[in-house]
Amino acid sequence: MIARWDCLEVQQMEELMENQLSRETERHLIDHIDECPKCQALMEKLSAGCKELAVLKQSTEQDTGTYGPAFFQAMERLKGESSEQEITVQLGPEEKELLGFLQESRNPELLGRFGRYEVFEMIGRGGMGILLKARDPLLDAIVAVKVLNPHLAPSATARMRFIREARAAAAITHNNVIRIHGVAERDGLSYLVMDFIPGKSLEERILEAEPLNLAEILRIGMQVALGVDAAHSQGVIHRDIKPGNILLENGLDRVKITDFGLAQVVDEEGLTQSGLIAGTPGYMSPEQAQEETVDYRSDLFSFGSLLYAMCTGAPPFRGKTSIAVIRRVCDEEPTPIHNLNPTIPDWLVDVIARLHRKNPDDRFKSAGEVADILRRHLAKIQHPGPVSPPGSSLPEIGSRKKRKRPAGTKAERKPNSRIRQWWRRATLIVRDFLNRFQAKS
Amino acid sequence: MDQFPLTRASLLFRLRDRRDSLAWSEFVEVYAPLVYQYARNHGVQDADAADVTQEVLRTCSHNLQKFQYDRNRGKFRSWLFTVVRTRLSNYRKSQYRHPQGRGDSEFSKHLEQFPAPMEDEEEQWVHEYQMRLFQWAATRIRSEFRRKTWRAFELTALEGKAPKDVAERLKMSVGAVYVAKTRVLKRIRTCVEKIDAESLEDFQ
Repeated sequence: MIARWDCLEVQQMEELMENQLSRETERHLIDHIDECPKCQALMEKLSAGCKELAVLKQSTEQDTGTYGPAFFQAMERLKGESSEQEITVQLGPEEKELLGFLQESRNPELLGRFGRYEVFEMIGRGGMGILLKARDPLLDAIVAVKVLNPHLAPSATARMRFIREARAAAAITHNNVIRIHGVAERDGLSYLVMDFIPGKSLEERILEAEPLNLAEILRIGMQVALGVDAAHSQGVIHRDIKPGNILLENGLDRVKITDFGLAQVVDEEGLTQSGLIAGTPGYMSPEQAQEETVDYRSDLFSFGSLLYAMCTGAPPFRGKTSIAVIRRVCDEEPTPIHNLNPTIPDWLVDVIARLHRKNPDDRFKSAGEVADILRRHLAKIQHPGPVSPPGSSLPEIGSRKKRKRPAGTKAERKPNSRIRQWWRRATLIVRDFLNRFQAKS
Repeated sequence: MDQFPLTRASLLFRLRDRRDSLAWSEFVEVYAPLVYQYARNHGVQDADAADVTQEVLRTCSHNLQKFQYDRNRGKFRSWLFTVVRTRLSNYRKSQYRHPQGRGDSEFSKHLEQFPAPMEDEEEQWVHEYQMRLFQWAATRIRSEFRRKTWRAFELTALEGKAPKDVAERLKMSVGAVYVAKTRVLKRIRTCVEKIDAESLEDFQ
């Protein structure tokens, strides 16, 4: 314990700067610095010289410059050159096992082949399977190939289901939904071919230090709502709306939703074997978490959580374990947005609160309805003026024609037994454990 | 003993190993924008500036692997500057040989965009070089910190606000503001050091 009046030694200060002290000691030291001008001065002196600060300051103020398209091409080409120098792409033992299904290729630039696809690299892996960047020589196009983890669909029925779901998703044609080229099976592996979107996920964007501004939140939110709405009207429920499934295309203000309906594919067999469950606890709806009736309104809840995460930088329901998260999803209200980000306007807070209603009947009637609200407010920011009368922040319910939902989207009830719930919780724990070892997909 | 008194972790050292593709792509990320911008600021258009950038970086890769960059002969950034200048002047010469169908008057105007080297040219280069390093480091480490910590750093270190005011504004203790500022700075320094420790010597 350090008494309040003890001034810090240089060594201690270095340790403090490098974050090497226990919380307890840290707190004591900070309390001391708080009141000791001598230590404050010493810290200033240690942290950096004036000249260094000046350069840093200029570098942050400096215009990042203009970069033409040739520059980005050159960057890509240059970065690829180090692997060209190697004889083959080197894989770790773990990756070798994962990618063991690829056929060898004589081209050293390729990881291998998968059917007619020339595989460049593995761009992601998750519980569901792995994602490859490949070239389709027939279309001469770069595509993303998602190969379903064989443990997830061990039976022919499960694989059939994957194919059925993927076909339904492939039928969605919308600007904000990733385009699926096809789905097929090869050597007992189910796979899905879709557009390759260069860019980052919304999850990565949220993790950046620069918070999203209101216009960005509305622009992204509106597009997600539109994509979800398009899917719903085709009878497809996403079931796993979360920032990791939203892609932000490089250099364009365009958003693409991926993995439509795939969360459902993982059935009981897969579940018991891999510890994977449909949906991501932090973004699940209460009905999904409790395995009650799930319909398109479950996506609305998850969409509310997505908006919340964009506004505050973190998902609304958090906890150390999946079980704790699920308990919060089901029984608790998230921390008020204004506590975390006071700049979010009241109307948006209200929209999110309504998406977050525990009872699906109390949520919005459709994703399209939310898209309209977001669009209206986005227009107001971009072209300030009397677009709509002030105060009409929440929409008049029913102003939009109530759209009839196709029968397929409604309710699929599953038997709700204690054993199933127990299993669910057990698998959540396993998944929690697995997730720590798995790279983000 | 070691002709390259670079720490094992330093980027230039790692680049000697051809299999370290991570080091190479980091090198590209740090230096390609610097070289490209330098060329653009000297009147070279996008496509040509990209070509010059590629040539310069390839030369670096080649020489670093063959140990032809010798630290005793000067700092890395000066060596890099020589490479950049040489490439730029080669580019100018090739422009002269293939003036791409430009009219004479237009071409002489083009030549005027390349002033003769001036004494402070290297000084300017060093400045841009340092800025690029810090800019890269700051962008790179930013996500390691909580928003509030970063904001405290920005307000104190970059905007020169008094820690007491910042503490009030961000609802932190003054001590915490000091710690935030110094921690971020320290991290930036470490990051720059890994890329090019020589450049930190300027600030000692």
